Amino acid sequence: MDEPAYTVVSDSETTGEEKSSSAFPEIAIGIDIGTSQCSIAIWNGSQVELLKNTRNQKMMRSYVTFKDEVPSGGVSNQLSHEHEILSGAAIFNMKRLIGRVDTDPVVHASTCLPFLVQTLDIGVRPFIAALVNNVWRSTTPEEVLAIFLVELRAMAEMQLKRPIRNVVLTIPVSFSRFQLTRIQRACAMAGLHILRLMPEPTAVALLYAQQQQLTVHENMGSGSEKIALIFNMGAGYCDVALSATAGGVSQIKALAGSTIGGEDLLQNMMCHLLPDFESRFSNHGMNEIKSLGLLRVATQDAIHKLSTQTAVQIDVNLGNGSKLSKLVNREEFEEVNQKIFEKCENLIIQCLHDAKLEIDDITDVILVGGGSYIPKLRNLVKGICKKEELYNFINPLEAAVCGAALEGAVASGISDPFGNLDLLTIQVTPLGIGIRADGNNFVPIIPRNTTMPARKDLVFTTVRDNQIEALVTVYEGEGVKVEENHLLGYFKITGIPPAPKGVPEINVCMDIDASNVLRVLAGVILPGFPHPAIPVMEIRLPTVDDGHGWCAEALHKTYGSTLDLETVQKKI
Amino acid sequence: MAAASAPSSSLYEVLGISASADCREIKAAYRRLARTCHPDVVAMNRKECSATEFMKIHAAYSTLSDPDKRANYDKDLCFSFNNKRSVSGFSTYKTCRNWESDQCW
Repeated sequence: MDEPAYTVVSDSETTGEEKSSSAFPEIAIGIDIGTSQCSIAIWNGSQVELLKNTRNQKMMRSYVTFKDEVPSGGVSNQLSHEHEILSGAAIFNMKRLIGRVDTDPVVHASTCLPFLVQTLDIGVRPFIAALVNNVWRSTTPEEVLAIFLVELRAMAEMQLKRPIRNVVLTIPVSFSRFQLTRIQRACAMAGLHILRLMPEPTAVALLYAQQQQLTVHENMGSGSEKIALIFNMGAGYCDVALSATAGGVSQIKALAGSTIGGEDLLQNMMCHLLPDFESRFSNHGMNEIKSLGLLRVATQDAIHKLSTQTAVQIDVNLGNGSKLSKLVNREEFEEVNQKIFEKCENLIIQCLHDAKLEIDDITDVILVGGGSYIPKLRNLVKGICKKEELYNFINPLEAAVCGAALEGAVASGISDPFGNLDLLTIQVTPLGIGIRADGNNFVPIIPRNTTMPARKDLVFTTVRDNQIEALVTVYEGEGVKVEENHLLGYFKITGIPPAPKGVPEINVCMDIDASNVLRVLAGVILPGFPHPAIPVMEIRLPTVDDGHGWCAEALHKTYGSTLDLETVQKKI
Repeated sequence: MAAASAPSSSLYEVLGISASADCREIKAAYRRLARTCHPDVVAMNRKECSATEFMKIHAAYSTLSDPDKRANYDKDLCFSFNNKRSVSGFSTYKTCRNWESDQCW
């Protein structure tokens, strides 16, 4: 991302100073902000190195506590006890909440977290607050993420003894462009400049590409192409990627992702153990928060144990004389989460289909993320891919951050005398981008899994005679109806020359440049005229800010279908 | 679609391969060109034109690496060669492309 969508920091502080004047190009660091854990890595000149905090941890918990005057995050904070995170004073799961509105099911599922997530169900950002001295203090996921990033930055600067500015960040495949702007906002608040945002499995694919190049010294391109299926499940998201690798080039064939993860497994399990847990904790009193925290810790612990044991005993004192004591076995866990596992299966199948690949084409199957320890998931992925063994030359928890650090070095223009950085990732769009047309339908112009950079156009026309204006509403997603997709922005084309319906040709062109910036261009042509009827409009998206949930509704209320567009049937 | 957008040279010429190249050669040529033309590997001031160049290369690759699309393309190529490119309904599309490309670059 060379030109961030916001200009808050760069406008006022560092315009033009980004091109470093020092003799050594600054190597961008790689950061993997997980829903539950976070890590940071850098290319140290010969290999990727994970940085450790003062307590010698490579993996740091992703949370920020608002206990004292100064908030402190999981990088520096020393927890006296696990339960401290669950006292209501700490905000976590920000990656699940960022850039979502209060009608989103993911936000709804977060309302039974120990901190406050309040929804009004009108399509605005949810109210989020931490409990500080018995007061709910409001904050936002961006603010929490920024505080956390500031700590990470300070830690890296201390160790590397230089200022840190450029970063490569990993993101879930299913993140919308609106969510990306929120991540950019958080980084800007923390004084970080995003060099690249990498979908997590593509970072893993890059690491794989490097490993393949190290082991097989194949000459460029002519060596055998290896197809890897990468399955990543963390606490918040599940991603799948298929990549074709040869000669250090990792070509992403297809991506698929969904907001399912360890957090869902945990909630389903808590529901199973205590069926009325949501109603029990809905009023967020001090005692409820405490017992909810206890239940959460015990359940999480049990899930971890079930990866190696077939059964586990759970004992939780829920307060008020109520006690939970239960023996849970692995089958129960798998049964309770059957739907999640089915979704994982569907993602893999969808990804294979989109990549136009067969199971027999797959060379290696790579499982990463915390979910990779779950026996059911391992068997499921092995089963679909018909593989006896998984690729085991990659650390499942460090793969994404290592890939991000590699990309950070490559994108910073660093070269390695041994050719270890002769790498390239050819990315694809994780979601389709299109406009509303033909009634309430979403018409993709750039379909998902299109190689980037990309430019595509489609011709639309008016729906009524002498229609002189048209509304272009841009969405991102996979739904058939517009409301199933993310709204990115909208604009009106005015001054269409009066003509019978279906005559004016309205060309909508979408362009994603090398920095992943999306621009929409719209022009009007009347058949028989060589030049555009009006100046072409060029809009950089997303333009929607907060409250995008009710924007579409407001547009519909104001204009109805008067400014609609229709697709033009392709004449051959 | 790709055929319409690159009238100046054949897709084989874009990839620098012969019309009899096999699938492996097509992939190798694509990767080789990506290593030099992709916006991620070129200098800052060349990013925009390299994006256009890479899109052209990718369009050629995606047509030629798909056996059905390649067969269709080969048929069209042969046809347009024999007929000295008879322009029909595409003229309006071409004007559209002009404003678009003028505007972008």
